[in-house]
Parts: sequence; structure tokens; C-alpha cells
Amino acid sequence: MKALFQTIYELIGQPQPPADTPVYRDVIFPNLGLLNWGLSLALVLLFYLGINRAMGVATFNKGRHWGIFLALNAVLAFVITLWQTSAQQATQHSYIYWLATWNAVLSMLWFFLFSLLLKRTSTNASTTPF
Amino acid sequence: MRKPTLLTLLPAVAATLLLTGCYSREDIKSEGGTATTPAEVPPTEVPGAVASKNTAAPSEASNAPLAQVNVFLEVSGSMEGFMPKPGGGAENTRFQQHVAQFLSDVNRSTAVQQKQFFRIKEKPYRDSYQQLSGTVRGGIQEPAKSTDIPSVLDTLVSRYYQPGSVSVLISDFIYSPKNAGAIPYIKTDITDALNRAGRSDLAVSVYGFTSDFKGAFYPALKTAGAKRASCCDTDIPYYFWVLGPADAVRRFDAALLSKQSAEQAHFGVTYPVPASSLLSKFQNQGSWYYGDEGASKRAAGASYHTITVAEASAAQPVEFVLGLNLKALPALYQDVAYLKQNLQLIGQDTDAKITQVFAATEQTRASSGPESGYTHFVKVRLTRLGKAARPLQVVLNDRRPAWVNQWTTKNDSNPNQSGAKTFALSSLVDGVQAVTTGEQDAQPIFRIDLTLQPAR
Amino acid sequence: MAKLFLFGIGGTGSRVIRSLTMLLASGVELPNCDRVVPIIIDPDAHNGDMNRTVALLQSYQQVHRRLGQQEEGFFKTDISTLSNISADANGGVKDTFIFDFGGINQSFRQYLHYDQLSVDSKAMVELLFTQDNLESPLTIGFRGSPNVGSVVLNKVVESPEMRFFADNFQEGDRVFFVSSIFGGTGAAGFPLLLKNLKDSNTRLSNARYLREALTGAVTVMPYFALQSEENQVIDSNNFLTKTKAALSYYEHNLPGLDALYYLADTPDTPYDNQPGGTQQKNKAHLIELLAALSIVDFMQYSDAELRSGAPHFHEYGLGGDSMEVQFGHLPDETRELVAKHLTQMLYFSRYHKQHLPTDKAPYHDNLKLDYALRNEPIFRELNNLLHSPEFGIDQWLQELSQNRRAFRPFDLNTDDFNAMIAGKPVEKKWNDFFNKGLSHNWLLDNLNKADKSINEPDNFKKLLALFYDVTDKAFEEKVKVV
Repeated sequence: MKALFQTIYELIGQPQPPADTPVYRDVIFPNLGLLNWGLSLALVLLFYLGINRAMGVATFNKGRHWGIFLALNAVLAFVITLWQTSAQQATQHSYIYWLATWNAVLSMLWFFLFSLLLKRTSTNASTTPF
Repeated sequence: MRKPTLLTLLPAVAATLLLTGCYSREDIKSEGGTATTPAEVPPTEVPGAVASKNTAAPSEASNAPLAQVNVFLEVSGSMEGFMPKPGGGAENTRFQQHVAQFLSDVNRSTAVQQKQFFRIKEKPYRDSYQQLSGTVRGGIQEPAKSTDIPSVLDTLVSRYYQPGSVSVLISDFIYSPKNAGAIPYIKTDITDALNRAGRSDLAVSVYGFTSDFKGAFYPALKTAGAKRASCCDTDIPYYFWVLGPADAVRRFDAALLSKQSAEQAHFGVTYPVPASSLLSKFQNQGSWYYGDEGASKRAAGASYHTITVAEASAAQPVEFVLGLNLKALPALYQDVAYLKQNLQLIGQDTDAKITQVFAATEQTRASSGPESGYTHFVKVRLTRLGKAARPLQVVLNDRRPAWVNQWTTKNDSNPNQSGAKTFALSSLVDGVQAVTTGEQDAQPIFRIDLTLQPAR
Repeated sequence: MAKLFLFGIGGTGSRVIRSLTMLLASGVELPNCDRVVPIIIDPDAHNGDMNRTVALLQSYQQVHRRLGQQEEGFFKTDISTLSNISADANGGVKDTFIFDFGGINQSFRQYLHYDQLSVDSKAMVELLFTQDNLESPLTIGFRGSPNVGSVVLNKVVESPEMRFFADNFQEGDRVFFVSSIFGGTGAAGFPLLLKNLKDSNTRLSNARYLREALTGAVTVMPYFALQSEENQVIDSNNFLTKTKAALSYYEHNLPGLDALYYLADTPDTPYDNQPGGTQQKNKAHLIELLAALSIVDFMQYSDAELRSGAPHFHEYGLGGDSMEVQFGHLPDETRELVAKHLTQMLYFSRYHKQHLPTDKAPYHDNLKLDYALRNEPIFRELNNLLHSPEFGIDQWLQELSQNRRAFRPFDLNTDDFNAMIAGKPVEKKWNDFFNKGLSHNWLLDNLNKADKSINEPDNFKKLLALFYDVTDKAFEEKVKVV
């Protein structure tokens, strides 16, 4: 799992400064990865099963509504990165913002994939985003 | 109506999902399974690279006081110049001040349970502290004709050698062989004397001092007369030799002699490996990080000994700093000059070199980083390394300090000319070294095992 | 495979069949038969009422064909043409709901071959028919003249359609006649046809089945007036006189009839006086709806009930006298029969018009409605059936609400589903933020739910099933009672 997240997160390069590499690889990357999954899954569940099924809201199922959740997901993923790095006392470095951006991009990817998996379970958004 | 309840539940569900996803450092510990203290786990994929127990493991006895110390003061005629009888206008010597203070220190010390004091004439005579201190201050009452150093040493190691005990011999160590032909055998004589009792863990610490000298000087070489009266215009060296089992000597040194501003040399004394750690955020440069298991935990007081290099080249060299805590070592080994000369880096497939050795500064001591815990720092620079993990050792070699040779003279018949030197001192030391070193090569003072590996 | 042969005679027959078709479209159950075979008998081939009824029937037929057999739902009951009831393709019968008079575009005088008649016979003819009768062309019907109709319609019995009908008549099939008592074609045709069917000396096949077949009829007595104008052929002032004459005839001359329904109302607004042709296109009227309900009522009786103590005579009374009839004014029996189904159909039609084309929802995507609504013929047919200004359901409801006496159970001008049933808005709980009653959201949500639960590959069938289920649920959960 760690290796997977390390691979994914190091697609944008080595952690900076290098001295923080262990904490990034052992703590921050796995945390971010799991949090991201949890976040995206939660938002997808909220969108597809919460709003568009349990709550019976049938008019919040357009592509743009999905897009709102996607964007929310990305913003939260960005914030989570900042939070995680500061919680783990990572050295302040512009890398953190690159990482946060990358995490946001990844979160959108997860959101998209979870959407594909779970949209069928929804009543009112089973054909969202397409 | 189920809708509102579900609505209120949703954030909670989301939060649960988020929180369960969190890694904490404890998780990592348990996930690692085997990870306990980093230093004890040799990286299995690195054959040959064995992380040593670098943390100072204090022996249980070290806190307990030594059983006994025997202080021997030579009171032959040659020592009279150090301890002149107080007379009209004659001032006491630095020797008197120093030795009296030392005796007082020993007598007061809680580091030793039992203290015994001896005058050495032909053989040791038991004195009380007051008597011996009186002798130092008041001058020698009945100077012995001469004392033969080998036989004194023999006596000390044969009769006063006990576990947990040391003998301190205070003397000018002027050894005059019977004739000129015996001079080349000084070393052998000393070796034989120390070796007669067959003490395998014998250790000797030699402290060299100088003092003004007011009286007759008896040179070892009698070529210019057996005695120079009213000597000397120059200082004359005198020595404390601490003899005993290695552990006891080390502890005695630390307890009572660590603050002496003396030249020193140590033979056969073993020291625990000093605490050390790589410092990833202190004057480091280039792309490297701790490769130790659990490095991410960054636990307080944890130490790291594996350097993982992501990239190293001539254009992007890697520089890392190893922090050392040498507090427990004798002053000699804390001396930056000595360290610069004798710290050695042993590695394979790498051009790693020590570029800098420096002592802690106010700034490092005040730092909030881990560097505050170290007294000395060794900076290493490298531009290439092996394709797999390789051991890298920082070794402090045990080299005889230069002062021994500088304080040695082949002719002490005229101290005013030769200066504060002792006849054949280096030969005496050779003899000591031969006993304590044995057949093996000289052991280093300490060796810190690091591992240098490329990033995976 | 019991059938109901439904003879709709004259303009009234067409209009009642129209109402029945609307009821069947909305899902009203017609028990004891699998198939309705309407036969419209009107020599006026250009009659507006008839033409739009035929258009409606054809449209219904197409939709039903696509839907096939179903347990319940919109367009449940099969309506087919006479020629369709048998695989035996009789070349003489056209595939139409209209009885083919073979283009009698001649005057009554020519039809009787008056000029070739003997003098005696001529005198007889002149005694029975006015000069006006003789000169009028038959193409626009009998224009309120039963004396003309009775002669011409006698011919019907010898037609290939009638023989085909008799050939395919089976045991258990029922016959029902719809006619007005005060018109021309209806008043003359109904007793004539009945007499011929029940005639023991008939030359038609399956005579015994025909004789024994359960037979019902609704006869509509005057419920509208015509504007009195000079020189008009039909004078509504004669309606009552004609009715009286007919009733006295019916009293003794309706052999083999098991049930007869009488309907009447006091005329109010005079209709535009159009004796026939395309201009005779009258607004749908509550009376026609009730007449159609008499057919449903007739079918609800079992064979045994009908046979015991026949003939049965029925009249109809409203629950309350109002010039604007709402569901509340209907007697319980009628209300239970129609209220829910008509409401469902209205919801469907409104939703179909208001939201269906623009919905963006899973049910919509899954049914591929974006494409289907624009391109698939059956969806266009449904659109016609619902919204055609000529024969659509919307139009029918509109007409009912605008006539005098008005049948106005719905507020047809609102877009709010909650307010569509007149005087009975859907209850919304003020304290429940999410309960907006019959909101677009509620309907969407339930359409999507139904979309998941209904397993039907055909998108058209599924669409109708969806809306039947959802409107059913809307009625049961939100409207509850009317």
C-alpha cells in the first residue's frame, strides 16, 4: 500500500526537502492516499446515495451538480494536504503546494472512478455524469 | 420521515470514513512489526553493513563508586625539587599546589570508596592522607636513594591490582638504566614489569604535567655528572600514571582527572561507543534522507545511521553531518585537533570524505533540533556511491599524541638546555603500549557504523 | 377471447366512443371482454365528430399494439377494427372503424329509384317523405330524419361488413349500441340493427349466438340545443317531439335487449347548427362521458346477472346538481371508477408536455427519450394522442370543462401538480421542508425509482409503465381521496 502511494505521489518528483522523504513516504503519502479515498468515496456516496437516493432529491443530478462535488472534492483534497503536512511537521517548502495540487488532481480521479462504480446504485443520478 | 435523519447522519458517516483513513505514527510502528529501536535492526538487505549499538550503554558499575584507589607518591631524591622544604623566601612549586589539591580531591571523592596513600621509597609505605599531604607541602623528610620504575610498576600490578581499583603513581618517571647499553631495553623492561602479573585487562592512563623545580636534578644520563644542584631554570615534567583494570581506569579518569589541564595518553582503556546520529536538517546538502526503519517517526532522541541518497553527482554533491556526543571520553579525544587528525572514514564504492570536524557552538546547543544533543559534528561529502547498500564507518583512531615525543629527550643531563623533557619517555610509553595492545592491531577509540545506500 | 361489438350510430355514437376511448386510455378497466370492436355507423363520411373519433381510435390502436397485453395500465384494453378480429381476410371488409356505405353520394330520391316507381308507390313515398327528404343528398346523413334513415339503414344488414361481423361472432361476445334518440341516423339505426341481429329468420351466420348474445344499449336523449336559424334542416325544437315518438316505438320494439341505459339533461348552451359534414364537430360533453360509462357498467355485470330479469333499465343521477361538475359531484360509484384513472392520465399528459422533453434524469437517459421523442414514430403517436388539438386527451378534457354543463374536475390552467384537482389541493405539511407534495422533484424521484424496479426492455412500454406506476403512487400517496 505504502509503495503504491509512494509511486503515485512521487510521479511529480521526489519530496522536498529530501530530508523529509521518510515522513512523506511513511506517513504523509499513505495518509493522503487513504484520506483521499475516504474523502472521494464519502462525497460520491453523499452525492449518489445520500442526496440522490436517500434524500429523494431528484433535481440535483445534473452534470454541473456533479461538477460542484468534484470541485469540492478537489478543494478538500488540497486543504487536507496542507493539513497533513503541517500535522506531520513537514518542512515548509513549495513542494507542499505542488503536492496539494497533485492530490487535488488525484482526488478528482478517484471521485470519477468511484462515480463510475457507484452511480448505478443511485436513483436520481444513476446517469450522472453520463 | 426518514429523510431528515439520513441527512443528519451523512456528515457523520463522511467524517468516520475520513478519520479511519488516518495513519498515525503508531500505525506505522505496528505495521512495521519488527521495528523496535532503529539501531538494533540491521537492514537485512544490506549484508556486511551492521549498525552497531552506537548509543552509550552505561555499564551498571559505572554509577557505583570504585572500590579503592591507591595513590603512590615517589619520594626519591629526584622529587625533592618538586617538593622543596619551605624555607626563607622559598616559594612552593606548582607541583605542590597541584598534587596537594589532587590528593585532597581524591580524599574527598565519592567516586571511590576506599582511599589509600603510599610513599614510594624502595617499596611502598602506607601513609595517611594527612601524612602524604604533609609530605607534599612540607617537603620530603627522608628521600629515598632512588626508585627503580620497573620494580615499582611490577609491585603496583602485582600487589595492588584489584577489580574496581586503580593505582595512581605520581612521579617524574626518570628511569636511569644501569648503563648506556641498557638504554635500548627500556621499553622491554617496562613491558616485562607490567606484564609480570599477567593482567589481561590492564590499562594505563598517562597524564603529563610540568612544574617549576627547586632543588637538585638527577638526570638519567649521568654523563655530565650525577646531579645538577640548584636546578632548574626550566620546568620539569612529572606524571600521573593511572593503572588498573580498563574499566576502573576509565571511570577514575572520568571522575577525577577529566578536568586536569594535562597532556594525556591512554593505553588499554576502552570506551563505550559514543552516542551519535546523522542529522538530516543540520548543514546538510543534496538529496539524501534517513534510510533507517521508522525514520518517519522522528521520535525524540532517536538516532539514525543510514544515509539514503536519492541523487549524488559532482554537480549535486551530498553533504551530511554526523553528530557525536563525546562527553564521556577523555579530553584528549574531545580535542577537535585530535579528532581532525584521527577521525577516519572507511567506505566502499564511494568518494565520501570528511570535510569538516567541529565542536558544538552556542548556536547548536541552543537549537531546537537534534543537533543540540551532540558535542561534535563530522561533515561528510560525497559525489558517488555504490549501487547497493554499503557500510560506511567513522573511526577514531588511537594514535599516540604528539606530546609524548615532544616531551622525550635522549639526553637530560642539562634540563636548562633540553627543556621540559623526560628521558626516554617515548620508550616508557612504548613499553606500556606493548602490554596493553597485545598482539592485535591497535583498536580504535570508537567506531560508528553507518550505512550508505542509494534510494530505492 | 370475448369481444364487445360496439355500434356507434350517428354523431352521438362517435362522440361516446371518443369518451370511451379516453377512459380506456386512462386505464379504466373493461371487464368480461378482451377486445372492443367499435363500428361507427354514419353515412356522413365527412362528419367531424366521426373523423376525429376515428383518428383517436387509430392512434389508440397503434399505441396499444405496441404495448400489447398488460395487467393494468394506460391503454390496457384492446380496441380493434372489424377486419382485424379475424385472420380470415375477407376482401370485402376494409380495415376501418367505419361502416362502409360504399359512397352513397346520391339523393334519397335517386336512392329509392323514385322515378322508376309505379304511380302508387310514388304516392306512398310522397306520403311518407317530404320533398325536402327526397331531394337531400345522403352523403351528409339523415339530418335528423329517422324516416329516411330507417330505409337506408335496412340495407346495412345485407352489407359484407355485417356478414363478416356475423361470421366472426362467437359465443360470449356482447353487443352494445350507442345512439341518440333525437337524431336521424341514431334514432332510426338502433332499433333497425337490433331487430335484424335478433331476427330468428335472419340469413346471417351464427344466428343463434347473435340471438343469445348479451346486448345493451345507451340511448341519449336531448342534452343540447341548436341555434335556431331560418331554413336549417335540423330544428332542435323538434328534438322532444322526436324523442317522444321514438320512446313510444322503443316501448314495444326492442327485442332481445338485456339492458338499456337512458341519459338526458336539460339543454343549455345551443350548439352551432351544423347539420353534418366536417363542420359537425361538437365539444365533448359530460353526457357522452356518462354514456361511455354505461358501457363500462354494462360490461361489469356478469352474464348471469344480465340474463336474470332482463331487460334492465338504467338511468343516471348526479350526486349534486352543479353546472360545473367536479369529482365531488359524481356519485361514489362513478367517482371510484374514473377519478383516479383520469387524474393519472392528466398527470401523465401534463408531465409529458411540461417536463418530459427537458428532464435530465436517469429514467430519461435510460429510455433514450432525447432520441425517441424526436424520432420514434410511436412516441410521436403518443404525443398526438395526448396533445393533438384535434383529438388529443388534453383537448378532450378542455372541451369537457368548457361545455355546459361543464365537467371540470381539474384546473387545466395550472402547472402545479398539487393544484390540478379542482378543489382538492394536495396536502403539504408546512413543517416538513422536504415534502413539497407532488413536486417535479417528487415525480422525478419516483420515476427514477420506478425506472430501476421495472424491468422492461422496450422503452415505449417502459415509459408508459413508469408513468402509470408513478401517477398511481402519486394518487394513492398524495391525493388519497377526491
